[in-house]
Amino acid sequence: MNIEFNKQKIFVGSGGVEWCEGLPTLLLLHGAGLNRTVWVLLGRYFARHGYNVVIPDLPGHGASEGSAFTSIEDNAKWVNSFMDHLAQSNPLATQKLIYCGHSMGSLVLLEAAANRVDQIDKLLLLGSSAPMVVGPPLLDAARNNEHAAIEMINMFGHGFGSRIGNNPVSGISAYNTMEALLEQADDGVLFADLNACNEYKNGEQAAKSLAGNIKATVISGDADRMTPTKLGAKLCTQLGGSFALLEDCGHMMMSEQPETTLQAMKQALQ
Amino acid sequence: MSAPKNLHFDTLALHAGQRPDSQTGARATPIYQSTSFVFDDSDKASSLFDVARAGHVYSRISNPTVGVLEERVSALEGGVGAVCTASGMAAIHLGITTIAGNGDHIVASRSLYGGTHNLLTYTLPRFGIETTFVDPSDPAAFAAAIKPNTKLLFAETIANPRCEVVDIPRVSAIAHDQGLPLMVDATLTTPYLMQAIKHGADITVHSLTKFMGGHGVAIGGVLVDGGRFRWEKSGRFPGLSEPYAGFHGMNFVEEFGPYAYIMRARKEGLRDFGASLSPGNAFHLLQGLETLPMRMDRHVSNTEAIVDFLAKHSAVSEVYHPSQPNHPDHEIAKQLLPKGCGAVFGFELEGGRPAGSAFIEALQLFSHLANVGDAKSLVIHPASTTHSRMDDADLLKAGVTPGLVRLSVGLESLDDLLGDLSTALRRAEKVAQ
Repeated sequence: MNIEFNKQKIFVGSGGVEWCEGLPTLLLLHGAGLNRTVWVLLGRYFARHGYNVVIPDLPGHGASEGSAFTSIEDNAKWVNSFMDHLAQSNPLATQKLIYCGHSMGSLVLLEAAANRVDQIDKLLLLGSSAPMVVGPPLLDAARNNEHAAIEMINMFGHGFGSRIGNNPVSGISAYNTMEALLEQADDGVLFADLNACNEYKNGEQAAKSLAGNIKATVISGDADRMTPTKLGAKLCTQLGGSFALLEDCGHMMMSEQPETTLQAMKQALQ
Repeated sequence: MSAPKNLHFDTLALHAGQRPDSQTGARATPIYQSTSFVFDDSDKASSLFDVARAGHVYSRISNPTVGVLEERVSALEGGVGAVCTASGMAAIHLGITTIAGNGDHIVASRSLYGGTHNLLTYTLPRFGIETTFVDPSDPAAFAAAIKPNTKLLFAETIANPRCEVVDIPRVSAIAHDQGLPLMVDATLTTPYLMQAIKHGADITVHSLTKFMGGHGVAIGGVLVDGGRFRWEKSGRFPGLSEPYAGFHGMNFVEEFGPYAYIMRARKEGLRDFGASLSPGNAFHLLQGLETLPMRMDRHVSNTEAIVDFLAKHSAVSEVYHPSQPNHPDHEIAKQLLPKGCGAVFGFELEGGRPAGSAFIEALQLFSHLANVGDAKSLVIHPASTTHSRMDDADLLKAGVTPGLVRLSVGLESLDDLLGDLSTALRRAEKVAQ
């Protein structure tokens, strides 16, 4: 559905189920250059299992209007404001929120959660690390809107097994789908996102401020070359949270290993 | 800065979509010859029906063996996803009916496989889908034929038997300017000779029965979604970009983004029309697909030598193959088909129909039958077989004359093939005299 917010149309998915009173709110936030569709299976699952699922396209992404923000902090402020706005006219809770982000989305929600720790119940960070350093070749390619940036993300973002395939979603090439999805981003969006990740310095402080105040889980793929496992584990330690390691899985866990990602998320939400 | 590279085509042809079986260690793809699959529990069952988890329910909709083939073809084509079907014709039907229905219109090349021509000319109009046929060598003709109710443009990458090569970049640009997708039948090129999606095609279909399988033992087809067409921006496809009552009110674009089309094809068309591929046939086709690169190289080298031989032979008046400099589409073929223009082509014998019959009957290695793309060399007389249901006017529009012979060049020794052809051509010359 389209939501008018700050004079922009923002697209929000709900997992195919209308929101209703009394359910916990689960926010799912996409990563750099991507959009809501990366959450399709997981969003549809949790929408049918006791959650009001909120899956926005960030400004400038997917079907949302506007321009991409250039910092994690600005994204985080927008997310919190947007969630407040949604709750004003929809049956969505404003307390005990569950924030779940992937990659850049995980940094945005780490920062957003730290800004409203009293309203957050659980924080799930998928494919995450803080800092989230982006190499100069990738940044340069993204700055110049070169297709090489997409190819690098796809290459480094998938484990070897996922490059071979054997997708449980029959007939779908997760690798080629990610490429097509990244190609949909307007010029400049990918760079704005990647540069925001690279420039974000407040992750450690945000994590420490949340430690002991919320239930946090970091989910990493054992073949993740974009946010390596050891960095995810370090962030988890700073958060005082739980760590889940997905086998035979790279950075794009929702499409690479949808079933084990689901099980890890279910565990985190208990 | 050079970009990292994905796995190469030859590697994907062997591996894409399949890893050693986790239960048994089987290296080859197992044949999951099962109609249905047990649900772990009721929650998994309902989640599968709600498209909230991944897995298989019933082999009409999806099957693990067929899924490997679908993912492999998708990887080779550069598509986001694929659906295999019982035949190439079933793939074309599924591809069209996923986005077109009663009151809709197609613009298609007039040079098409006879079965496709029948579907578009006679069968689909019974269901309210009309087609305007145009010259495939004239991109402007595609543009001129587009109507407000047009839903797609359709052509073959290389038409048979005169080997017209459609200018995919130009025709796809025309289609996209009008908010329409271009669907191409890429059977005769296979993704090894041309990845049509990279040239601008949005949807490809193949008869897997032909070069992709290569062995002539299994019928099958596949529909591939390039994933680049923006259905929601076109405004012509509410069935994909608005809630669809036929599938739980799902808005396929909102949910699946780049693979909305192929999900709709599976969730609706495969479910309702049911033209699914059997796991046994998928297994056979996978065995063939593993050697596609090597086979296509041999098909092409044999063909080019035979084309040169025929072009110089006194019994032959004309050879229709884009590798020939005098072929009308030679230049676009060089651009789109740098690895070769395939192994199916037609040629005209001096002496018309009697010479053609004598030629075919004198051949011993070339098999006279209604197929192409086999490892074995094949021959046919289109006017009396594949195109026999066309009247004379349509026959001429499709480029089929009484003396036209079509060859599908196989993998035999070139010397043996040339020897067989030489003998048969001498027989044809005698009849012509």
